[in-house]
Amino acid sequence: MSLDQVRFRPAELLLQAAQVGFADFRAQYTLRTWLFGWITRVVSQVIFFAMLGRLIGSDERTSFLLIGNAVAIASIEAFQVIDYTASERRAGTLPMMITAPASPLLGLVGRSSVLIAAAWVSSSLALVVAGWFFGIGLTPATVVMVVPAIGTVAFAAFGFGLFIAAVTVRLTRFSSFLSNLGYLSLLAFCGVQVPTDFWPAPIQHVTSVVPLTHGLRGVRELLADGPSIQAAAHLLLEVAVGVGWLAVGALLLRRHIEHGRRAGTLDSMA
Amino acid sequence: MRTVAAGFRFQLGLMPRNPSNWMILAAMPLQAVVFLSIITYAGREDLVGHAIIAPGVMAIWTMALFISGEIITQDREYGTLEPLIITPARLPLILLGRIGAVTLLSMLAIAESWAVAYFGFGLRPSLPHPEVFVAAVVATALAMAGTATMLSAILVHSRAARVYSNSLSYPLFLLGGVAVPVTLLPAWTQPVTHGVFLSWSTELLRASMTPMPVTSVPLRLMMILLLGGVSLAVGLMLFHVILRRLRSTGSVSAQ
Repeated sequence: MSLDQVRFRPAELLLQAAQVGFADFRAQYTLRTWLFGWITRVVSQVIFFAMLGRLIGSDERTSFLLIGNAVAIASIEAFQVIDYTASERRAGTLPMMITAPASPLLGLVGRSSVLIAAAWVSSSLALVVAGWFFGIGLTPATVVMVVPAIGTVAFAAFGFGLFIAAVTVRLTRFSSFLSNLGYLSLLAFCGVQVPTDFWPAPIQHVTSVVPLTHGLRGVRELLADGPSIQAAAHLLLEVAVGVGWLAVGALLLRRHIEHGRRAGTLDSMA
Repeated sequence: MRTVAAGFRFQLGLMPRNPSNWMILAAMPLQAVVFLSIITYAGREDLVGHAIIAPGVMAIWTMALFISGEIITQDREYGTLEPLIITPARLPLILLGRIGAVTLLSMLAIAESWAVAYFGFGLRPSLPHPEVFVAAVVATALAMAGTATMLSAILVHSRAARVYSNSLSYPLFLLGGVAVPVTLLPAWTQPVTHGVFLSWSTELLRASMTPMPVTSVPLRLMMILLLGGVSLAVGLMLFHVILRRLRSTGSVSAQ
């Protein structure tokens, strides 16, 4: 049987690639460095921004900043997909994935999907721990309700990150910069620090189609009023945003791969 | 002094060629927007000093960590550390010059932050004590250069340190009172904050932007320089130990 005749089940391939991605993640962090390094950092980041609410002298602002910055953590970590994709090219693994008979797109998405899980956990932990620091104790019932909502933000940010990764796949030297720029833009304009209507209308139009905006609104509504149709609608919109960017990113990546195959430039970098 | 100047000139020439050297300054205006929007939305334009100093100092620290802190590690990876070690010039002096260049450029972050406040938000920050502000900026730059020397030595010494150093930023920004005075932090953190030079720097920088008289300026400047000096001494001592070990084990270029 030739390699062309080999058939792969997409779910199986995704799962295997995700296992490889998890192994990569474990090489990057041990449980100790993840907990005392990364989690300490993200919790401190949330406390740092929420303290500005204390400086302003408003409990309402403190709570707004705390929730916004905790949920935004999901987008920082999910955005690392940009750097992950660039590193596949730098490490020379991208041409190998492309020449393999299985879909390189599924391989790429699967390998970096560990970031969705990591982002989800980091953001949820940051919300709970920073909330405890400020005396905003979340009940177990609230946590059970809010954690899945944070998952929608992690997923949507991953989709958008994959799109940026596809746009910039030939500019690997700039991957960290673009990842930071993307994340800082979300942090500034998507309702994390101030409501989105603070910004001029053109910025509001843009933020309505990028991750975090709707998901964060959904989380805020869940925390304020409990489950509601409105909160569910915001979260569904967040998922839709994620699916949209993931699809566009996957199409762009496929185009780059086909172009790179024809031009023989898959392993050249800028 | 000529060696320090040569290191300084070399780093200035090197920086524009690598995107990672200027990307922190390029992303800096967005960081300023984050802080300025918070105070503007709350109608607390009186806190503009906090919103300008915080992103500026964060960028300065980030450049110290990711550019100055990585100088020797990168030289080791590129294979340029060996020729540097066998030249008659003393490596720590070259390093000091290079770190000085990075630190000087990083000070642009405060100017950028000020420009975003002025042009982006229409805020008109006042500077009633310009001499205190300039003195605090200079002292902060010197202390940051000392701290960067120590960071560079620690990062060469231990791979595990890199994982933790990347995570050190926000805890340090909290303890350094970068955005919010340390007096708002829990009482048990206060003794620690006095040992972080950033807490002295940020307080003095912000104080220079308020109309009230600034007290104990010499003492506060001295504390910034003292804490920076201690870091510099520790860094130089660590380098001495590390270089002696690398020479004796023949592992200068080992990864």
